Amino acid sequence: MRRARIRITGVVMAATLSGATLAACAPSSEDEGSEATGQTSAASPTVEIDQNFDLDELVEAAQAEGKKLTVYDSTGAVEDIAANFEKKYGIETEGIKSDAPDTVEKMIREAQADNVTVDVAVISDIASIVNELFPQEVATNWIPPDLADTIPQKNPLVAVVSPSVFVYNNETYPDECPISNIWELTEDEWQGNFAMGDPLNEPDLTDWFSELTIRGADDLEGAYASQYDETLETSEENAAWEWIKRLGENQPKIFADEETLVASVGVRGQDDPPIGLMSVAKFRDLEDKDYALEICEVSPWVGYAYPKSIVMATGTEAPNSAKLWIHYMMTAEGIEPQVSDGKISGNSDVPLAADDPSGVSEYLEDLLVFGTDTAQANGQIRPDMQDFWRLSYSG
Amino acid sequence: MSVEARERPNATQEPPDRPSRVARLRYRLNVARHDPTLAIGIVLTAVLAYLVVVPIITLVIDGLQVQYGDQQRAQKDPGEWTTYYLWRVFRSPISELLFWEPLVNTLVVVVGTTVIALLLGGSMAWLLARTDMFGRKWFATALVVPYILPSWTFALAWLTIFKNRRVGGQLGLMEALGATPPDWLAYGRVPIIITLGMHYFPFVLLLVGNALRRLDSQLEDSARILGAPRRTINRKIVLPLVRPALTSAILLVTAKVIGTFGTPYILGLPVDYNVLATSLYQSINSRQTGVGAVLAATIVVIGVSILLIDARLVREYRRFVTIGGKGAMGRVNRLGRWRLPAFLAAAGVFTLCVVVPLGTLFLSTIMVVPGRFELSNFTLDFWIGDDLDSVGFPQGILVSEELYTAAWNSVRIVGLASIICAVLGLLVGYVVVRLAGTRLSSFLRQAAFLPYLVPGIAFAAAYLSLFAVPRGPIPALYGTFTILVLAMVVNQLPFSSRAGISAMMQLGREPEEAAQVCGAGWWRRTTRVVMPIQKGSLAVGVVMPFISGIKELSVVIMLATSGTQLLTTLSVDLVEYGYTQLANAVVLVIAFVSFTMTYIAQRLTGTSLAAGLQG
Repeated sequence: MRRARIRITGVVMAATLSGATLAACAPSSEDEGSEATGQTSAASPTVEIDQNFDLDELVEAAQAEGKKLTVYDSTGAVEDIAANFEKKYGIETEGIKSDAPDTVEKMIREAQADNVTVDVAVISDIASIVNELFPQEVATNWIPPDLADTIPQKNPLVAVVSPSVFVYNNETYPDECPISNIWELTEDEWQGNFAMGDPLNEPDLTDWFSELTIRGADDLEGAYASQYDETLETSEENAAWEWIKRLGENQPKIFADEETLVASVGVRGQDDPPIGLMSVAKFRDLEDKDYALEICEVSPWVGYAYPKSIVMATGTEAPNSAKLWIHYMMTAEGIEPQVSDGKISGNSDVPLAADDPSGVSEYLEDLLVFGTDTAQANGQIRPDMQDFWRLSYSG
Repeated sequence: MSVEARERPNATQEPPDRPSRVARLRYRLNVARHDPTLAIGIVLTAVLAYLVVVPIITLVIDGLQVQYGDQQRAQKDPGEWTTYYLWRVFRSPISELLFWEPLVNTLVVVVGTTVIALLLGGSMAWLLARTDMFGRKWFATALVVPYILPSWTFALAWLTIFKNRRVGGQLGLMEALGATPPDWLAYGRVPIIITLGMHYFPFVLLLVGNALRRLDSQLEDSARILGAPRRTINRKIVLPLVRPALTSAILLVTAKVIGTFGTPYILGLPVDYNVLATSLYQSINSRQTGVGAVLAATIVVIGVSILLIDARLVREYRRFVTIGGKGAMGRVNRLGRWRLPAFLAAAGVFTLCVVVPLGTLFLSTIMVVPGRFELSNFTLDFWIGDDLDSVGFPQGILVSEELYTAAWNSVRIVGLASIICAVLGLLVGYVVVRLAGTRLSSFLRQAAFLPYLVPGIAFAAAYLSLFAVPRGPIPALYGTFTILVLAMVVNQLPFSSRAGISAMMQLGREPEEAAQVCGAGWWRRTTRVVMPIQKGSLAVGVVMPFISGIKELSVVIMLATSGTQLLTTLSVDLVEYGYTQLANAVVLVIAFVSFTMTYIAQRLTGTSLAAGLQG
């Protein structure tokens, strides 16, 4: 029965679990959950799940609090979700869009001053959750018990996973993506012609590099061997470090904002457009803009997916409303505005968006998915990774 | 030394019947009532120490203590003292790329920008204030617009025109015309310097223009009668008289450029040209708080060094009173046959610094697909449509209610802050000048300017801690309207205090003393003599904070907890949704509101920062 469900929601699981682990064996979702807990015990000792949970009681308790709930998220969709939540439960709710660094800073300062206004926050920078918010008891992890079975990543609770993919211009290259292996991006032919965000300014890119070195090295080594029919020789720690170094040395185009990045790849009438790496959510924004964009099918991965976690402020005055919000975010109904942007719910029961302008659903198993178990390591390694990138990129 | 010996001088000074302490105090209070400069100075000092100095100290402490998550690197527990961040920024193998190279680039950009701003602003100020060029009044208003626009709009315009295949995407204008610009022209040092210079020259224009306008032509006439050639007059009379305004302007430009992130980042990224602000934002965005604090503190230190140089300059070139009790004359120089060329030069500056960036921005709001010049691609829907595809924002900017709410919030909050700022600034100027030479004066002068040197992002975070709990007589202001206004006042105070100081320096004691002789009290003198004379600089003191505050984002994001939507946050939200056209339309609205308020302020005060240049 459980196995059957995994099959059905296989794609989602592939996205939410670390791809490599899933390929080896398909454990029950509960096992995976507790395993994750064990691995990250340093960050937050236990993930407590209340066995006597009753949703109706929580709703009642939340409504009885009579407090305004303030929720932070890095996507503008939070305003819509807040409006829906308020309509459904009659709890006054305000959704505020704020980027992860600002949210984290704010929560820490508020906690220090014991004057909490951010009740719940969705934060993409998991490393700062486990390295800063949990140890300082600024934020608390809470899992909706009735949904726990279908939530594979619990520590911290992953609300959504945001995929980013390699893309190419399908007008200039009408047949297929001009590359089939990400090692080609390090070749002379693509020198200065790969478009990406700034790894020094966007933690998810830095963390992607870290993830590559932690769980992607073998795949990258294999990809190298199949591309060039020889074994990679490197003086770096592993194949991933070598790839990152070569990528940096090949002088990719670095973009300050995704809008121009996407234009660089997708504008029609270009002779030599770059390959790009962009978030799937952008596809929807671009429907009107008539860009010639398509996902590039490269090995070993067509992209990566980074998790966003949802935590409640430890000092919130409306703990039940906060929990109810978390619960709501983990249901299909609640998360819908984000799912329709191409994000994948952290609850494996929640289906993908029905219409998907990017077509990423076909490639979910080919994404490198960050696990929360490595978040702490990613946070620790971040300055080193940025240094490494700085040195490689500046040649 | 005996007690007796020490008391003797006192005994001789005081009359035998020794008036009581109360009587002495009453006398002092009485003096203070008529000239409460010192009292005001002390109050201002206390306020600024709390609002400005304390946040900076917390910033420095952040850079010296181990932050959470860095235990392993620093090999100490969070909260312990460490030199790890200092080492990382200044001495580690990466310091070259993280700090030293950006430092050099920053200095190059600062010097270059200042030179351009001085050339543009100085020449325009002279033309507007001292000549009979055509359309002075109009230009005086129009040439403030470059500062009203957010600086990144210049970067956007630059890239639209000069970009090449290194960035890709739509063809740049030059490319489309068949002349592909080289990288050095398209990105990095050259465009950063030019665009920032174009953005900041109004500082020079306003401050120097104001000083030039006040300059008494009789001084020049006297020199001319004595046979001094034009050059000597400029060097020996005009330049020294406008020097306080000039150094102020240079300081304002320099310090702002050091902390500016957007433009250098957008234009520098394609060729890996980094400045200190780039490193700062990169550390903050990747939650390297300690390194961020060290970098922010370094930026403050560089700013302070420039400040000290400025203080030294002002001291050396004593202050010159240009508004005395005597009559003054402002005479214009006749340009003669240079009248038309001068006009064309001003028109050229206007075109480059106003028409081009505004035009580029406007164009981006009326095109569905960027860069495709076909008639079918143009639309006004983003302005006045009511059936857009955009989820959550289905109406054009001008017909959407959200815009008007946001605009009203912006005007309300920033307007209030600016007015408080202006009055405070004039007071600071008054005290600084009247008590010149005292420690109080120099502390005030510098403390009022410090916020300007602190990158906004660092300041906002410090404020959050400072006002989240009640401290002594100060209640917890966090989450209130007040703290947002307060933070804005402090953030923008440098403008008003500079304007105040530079204006007060030129105002001698004579007018005030004349009033005092006639029996006017301090309040009356201030409101009837000082304020009216200074209404021009008071207007500058309101408008400059307003223009700058209405573009402000980091303070707002950090401190506005009620989710009060301002124009800036609305624009950022729209960018997030991917509605570039709508977002840019909001930016134009911000510029429009700024401009309108500037204009209204001018009308209300009768003079103006701009028409004020005309006299």
